[in-house]
This record gives sequence, C-alpha cells and structure tokens, in this order.
Amino acid sequence: MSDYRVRRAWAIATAFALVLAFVNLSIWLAGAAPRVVWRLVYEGTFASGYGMAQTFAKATPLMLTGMAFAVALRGGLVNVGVEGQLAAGILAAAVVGARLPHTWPWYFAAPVAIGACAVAGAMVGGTAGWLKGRFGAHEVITTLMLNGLIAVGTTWLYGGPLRVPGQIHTRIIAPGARLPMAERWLSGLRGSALSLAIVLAVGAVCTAEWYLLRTSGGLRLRAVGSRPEAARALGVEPGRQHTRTLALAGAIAGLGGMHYVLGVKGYAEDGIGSGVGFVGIAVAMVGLTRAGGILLAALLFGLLGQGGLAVNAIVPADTLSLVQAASILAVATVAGVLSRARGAPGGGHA
Amino acid sequence: MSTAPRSGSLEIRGLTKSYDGRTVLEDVSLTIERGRVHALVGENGAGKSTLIKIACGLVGADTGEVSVDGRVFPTGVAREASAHGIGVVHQHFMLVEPMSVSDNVVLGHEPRRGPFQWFVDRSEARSRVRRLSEKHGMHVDPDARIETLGVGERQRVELLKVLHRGAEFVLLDEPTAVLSPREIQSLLGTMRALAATGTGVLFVSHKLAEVLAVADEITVLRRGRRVLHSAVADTNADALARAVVGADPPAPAPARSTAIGDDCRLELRRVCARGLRDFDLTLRAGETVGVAGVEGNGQRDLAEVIAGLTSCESGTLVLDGKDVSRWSVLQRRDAGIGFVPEDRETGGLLADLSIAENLALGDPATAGRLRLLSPARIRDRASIAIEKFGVRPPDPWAIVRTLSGGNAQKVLLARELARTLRVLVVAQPTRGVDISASAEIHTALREARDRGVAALLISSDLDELRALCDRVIVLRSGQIAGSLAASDADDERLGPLMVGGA
Repeated sequence: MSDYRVRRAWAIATAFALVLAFVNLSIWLAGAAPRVVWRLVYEGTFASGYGMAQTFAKATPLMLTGMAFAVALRGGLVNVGVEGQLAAGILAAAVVGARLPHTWPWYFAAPVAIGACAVAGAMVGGTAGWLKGRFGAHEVITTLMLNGLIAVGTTWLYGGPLRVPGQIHTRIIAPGARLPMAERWLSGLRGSALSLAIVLAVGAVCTAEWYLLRTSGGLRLRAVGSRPEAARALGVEPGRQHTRTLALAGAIAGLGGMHYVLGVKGYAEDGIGSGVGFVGIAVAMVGLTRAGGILLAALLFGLLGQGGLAVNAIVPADTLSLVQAASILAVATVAGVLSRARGAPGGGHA
Repeated sequence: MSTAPRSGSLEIRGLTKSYDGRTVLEDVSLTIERGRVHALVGENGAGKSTLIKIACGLVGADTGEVSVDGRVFPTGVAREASAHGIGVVHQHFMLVEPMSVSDNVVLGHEPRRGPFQWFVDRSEARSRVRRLSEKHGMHVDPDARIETLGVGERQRVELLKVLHRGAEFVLLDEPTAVLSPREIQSLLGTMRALAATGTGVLFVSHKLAEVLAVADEITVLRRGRRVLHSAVADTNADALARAVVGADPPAPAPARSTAIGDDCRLELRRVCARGLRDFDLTLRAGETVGVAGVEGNGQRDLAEVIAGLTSCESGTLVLDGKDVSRWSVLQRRDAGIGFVPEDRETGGLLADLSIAENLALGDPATAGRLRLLSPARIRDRASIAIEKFGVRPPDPWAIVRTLSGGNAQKVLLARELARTLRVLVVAQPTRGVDISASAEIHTALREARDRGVAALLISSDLDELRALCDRVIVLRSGQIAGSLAASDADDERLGPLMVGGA
C-alpha cells in the first residue's frame, strides 16, 4: 500500500473519530446520555421503513443542490446561488404544473413540469454566469443577490397573486404532473415524503458526473475550472463557458423543485426548501465534489435531519446540526491534508 | 557589519529520500564552503530540487544528515535550516506583488519602533535594503512595488530577502531559467560577489556554459545519484554533458533537408495591436523565423495576435491567402494555427487534468460540445504521443501538475503537433527544460519544419534561435528593429539591435 493511501485512510478515520467525540461531548453537555440519543436517532431512521423513507426523502433535494454546487466549483465558480436556483425551480413547478391541462397524461405532463424546474434554475444560474462573462461581475456577489431577489419575489407571489383564497399555498398542480409517492407501492410508508423524485434525482446527479467526465463539453467545463487562460488558448471562451456552467448548475438545483411540488406537496408555499441550497454547499464539500461522495453525503445529512426530529424530545434538534458543522470542518481539513500529501512527490520541478 | 570571511561549510552527507517507494535521492553528499560557488547540475528529475528542499528544511530526509560547521540539525524543520544560516531562492518567486521592495524584504523580520514595538520602522527597513543592495552590488529601488518590476529585479528582491534574514549559505534553484542573457550575466556577477564576501553559494542550473563560467566546483546528479564531483578547472563541457546525460551528448543537428517553399503561409500587414506597431511579417512554408529581443518588447503580443488571443486594432493577418484578423481562437486553430505559449503551466496546460485529457482538448475529433470521450480512445491517443515524445512518467492518466517542466512542455508540444498544422507559434520551448528533453523538443520542431509547417520561434536563448531558424528578427518596442539570416545572427550583431542605440 502506498504512502498516500495510508495517509488518506488515517486522515479519514481520524476525522470521523474527532467528529464523533465532539458530538458526544456536546450531547453530554446538553444534559443527555449520548447512548440514549444515538439509540433514538437509530429508531427514528433506520429502525423503521418510515424512518428510512424520510431519510431518503430529506436526501433527495440535498443531492441535487450538492451536485449543483459541485458542478460549478469544478468549472471554477463558487455558486452560492443554489438556494435561489432551487427556489426558482419550485416556483416554476408550481406555476407550470397548475396551468397544465388536467386531461394530459403523465407522460406529457410530468416531463414538461420537470423541464420547467430545470429551465427556471438554469435561467437564474445562467444570468449570474452571463454577468460574470460579460461584465466580470463576481459570481459570489451576483448569485447571493439573486437569492435575495428570488426570496422576496416568491414570498410576495405565494402570499398574493398565486395564493389560493382561504389557503396559504398555490393552486394544486395537474394530476398528470404529480410524481407517484413511495406509499403507493409500500403501504408501510404512508405519510412519507419519499417519491419517485429520488430516482430522478440520483439519475440527474449521475448523468451530470457522466457529462463532466465523458463528454467534450464536460472536459471544457473542467478545463476552464482548471486554467481559464489555457482554456482560452484552446478556443474555449471562459466567459461563455461560465454562463453554460452556471446554467447547468442552476438546472440541477432547480430540479429540486420536483421533489417538493411534483412530489410530496402538489403545490408551493412560502418557506419550502429554504436552507436546502446552503446545506447543499456542505453536501458538496463533504462529498468531495464527486457524484458518489455527494450521494453519500446527502444521505448522511438526510439522516441527521430526520434523526434531529427524533431526538428533539431530549436534546435540541440542533445538536445534530453540530454533526454537519463538525463534519464539514473535518472533511475540509482532511481534503487539505490529502492534497498536501499528493502534492509532495515530484511537485513542480523535481 | 562585515567581518573577515569565515571558513566553514554546509555539509550534506549520505542523503537518501524516496516518495511512494520511488527513490529520488540515493546516498548523495555535497559540501558548500563559505566563499565558494558550488554548482549542482542534472536533468529534470535528477533530484536537484529535492536536495534543495531537504537542505532548507521543507522536506525531511529518510537517511543522511545536514550540518553547518559540524553542527548537525534535524531535516524537515524549516526553522532549523534558516537558524543555521541557510536561505533559498526558489524558482517560483514568493513575493507579495502589491507591496514595496523593502516591505517584501523585511516581511517576517520587520524592524520595529514605537510603544511596545507596535509599528514597523519603515525608514529603517528602507535603509537596510539600501545597505544590503550596495554591499552586494545589486541595484533595486526599495520603494518600487513588486508588480512593476521585471523578472530579474524580482529575483534580486528574493535574494535580498534571504540575505536580510542572515543567510550565510544561499541556495539558488535554477535562477537563470527565467532570465534574459543580460540578466544572467549580472546574476553570475552577483554570485561571485556574494562568494567574495564569504557567502557559500549553491547554484542549480541546466546550462553548462554558465556553470563553467561561475562555479568553483561542480556536482552532477543523475537519477538521484552523484555521478561526478570535480573542481571546475578539472572538467569541461563535454565531460559534464556526458555525466549529466549518462551517455554521449546528442549529436549536432543535421542540416535541413527541405527547402523553404514559395507559398506564403502567414502574413502580417501593418498590424497594430496591444504592444505592436505597424507590424509586417511573412512566414513561408517550411520556414522557421526566430524572434529575439529583450523581454517585454512585443514578443508575447505578437504570438497572441497570431493565435487570436489579442485582437488586431488595425491591419490584416492573412493565413493561406484568407484574411483571418477577425477569426476566433477556435476558427484559427481549425485553420491550422498552433500555439505553444511561454507560460506553459498557466497559459498552455490544464494542470489539474491528466495528460490524456489535455491532449483530448486539442484534438479536433473531440471538438464538438456533446461528443463522447471514449476513455479507451483518448488513452490510446495519449499513449502514442507519450511514446513519440518520450514523456515520463508514461502514464496517460498522470496529472500534468506532477510532471517536470520538460515533460509538461513535451505534452504541450505533442498536443499542438498532433494536428495538421499550417503555422506554429512557439514561445520559449526549452526554458527550464533539461538537455536531453531540449534536444527532443528541437527534433520535434525540425520534423514539423520538414513537413512544411511555417514556424515562428520566440526565444531568449540565442543559441536555440541560431540552431533552429532560417532567419532571426529582433523586436524592440513592438517593431522589428532588424532582420538577420541565421548564419549572421551572432551576439555582436544581435546585441545592439536588442538594446537599441549604437
């Protein structure tokens, strides 16, 4: 086994041990026994079919927002607008879904509604990319501002023009656009938020990874992420590529709308999906910006979210968000250790 | 401050180091005496940089020891090395660009004043820099900002920084690789001056002429082992070259076998652009035109105008009879213009991607946006290029960042030469590249010429221009100051054209 592998194994093991120790200490300080808390987490998640389904349901939008951040990062862009791109996807699903004729069968209605999520997210992301490519506006600023704009806009729309009188949400979407819920196949999952959206989400994440690694477009995206000047000398205009990259990232984030609107809810309302974009950044980092890692990290964060509800009775649910924070710190450190370990041999001019 | 030169030495004994089971240094010993210049010569990958990293404490040795005046200190601890008076000027400068020269020199060891020593004593810093630069005969303005300085001046700042920290042994990692001939002469003078004041100098270089001109003694490394150690008087260029390469040095280049064609491949007509004024140039099929000049006189702009990275403000660029002045980079590449930029690590290659992916990016077969990249296909194409150009390691999936300068350059050249080219623009193809890789790169360029490619070769290495070119043009202030047949392009004629006047 090579030097690098040994170091990587140690670094990851150490990081996880530290995270566990830190979280246990926090639980103990909050006045509970770690053993009891972990037992509750287990019972609330893996012990029952319903708990597992909820874990997967919580992971569904997270894997998309995580991949949306990762795709942009591999293209050299820090996409902190995932939150807004997801919100745009939710809005589009609600608006388009509600206007589809009720007579349309699912094989027309669902693709149109899903496409609307992606297009809306892509437009929001692409706008930030275009502003960078055309005017040099930094994407961190523009995507953050777009987040704010969309948050205000959707709050107004959901509270006013789009609201169904007497309700606090938008019109129910056409039945053809609804994605089947898991409870349809497994009656034990009654009430769970898990739907077919998870299959589509995993598919989207894997397709995005495949695009990055196996197509010329993906190679160009990564080329600009690696060295924009060198990419330019090869005829890839970094400005235009930035637009494409953020549009792709936005489309992936926007697909999160299908989980909420086309899946569990059937409508949009204020506050749906809020914070999921930002947690996605953590998912991408913990998943080391690769599809496999992101899927696992999304499951971990889904587990923590669901487990947090289970332990709420004895310790604050926030205790488990400590795990999120601690694991981000640990993974960031491990990634640093790893890149240094890899950079050492023959780095530069040997 | 200055006292009589002390004797004593920095001694490296029996150093061995391996990474991932690959031995990069094996039982290497070397002594740098105060007041002497010791040259360290070897190909890329011979272990020179690793030796320097160990000597200055960046990397720990597996076995062996480093001592100053008989006091052994642990390797791998940078603080120990600098406390023992060892200072390094790395190949890549580590300067804070928006700060002044004197701020950079004293950074980390600032003179202080005021209550609780809270404030940096700027005037003391300035006068320290002035004193140091006078003492060692290196002129730098202490108030100039780093970003306004040229490469040679930046290097002097690095050297001053090391001396300000009290270095008695200065290790210079390939310092001449980035310098123009004039700056090299001045640096060699500085090294002698440092030695005269009792500093021990370790000078790493590929260029045997420089080494023979400045060093007192020479050590040659090959594949991590010391293969030669000799006083400079007891050796010569041939013996050194044999030791470096491990075989007889490459034979002198064969004379060209093909004639220059009549058809005009590329023509610049009164081109004005950033850095160029009313520029006229003609390249014929099979012709290699060299571009000499002091750096920053439009060489880079000329290359970028042809490649399409800088736009023409007026005038026309004609390729094979077609006006291509308004064409995009991609259109020009498709029309057969190849470009090897001088900053291969940032402007040429994608350091985070593999060799195979870098080659695939230049391959017209994968030009479309949604073309699928078959891993088998891009691997096979990369393997062919790796074998043809002798890239080491011969692994298509090796990340370009981990390659040595010479091997990275081979990948870049392979990417451009794999296509059907009409015109090739190459800048500094062998800068920082070792002897055998340079020879291989020259061979590749000659082969391209014999296939009828019209080439523009920008180089600060005048020997390289004479060896490869049919004629040499000299750039000054964005214009052609003179044009010479290669056979007439000696230093006496080129020199005045480069600097102007006389």
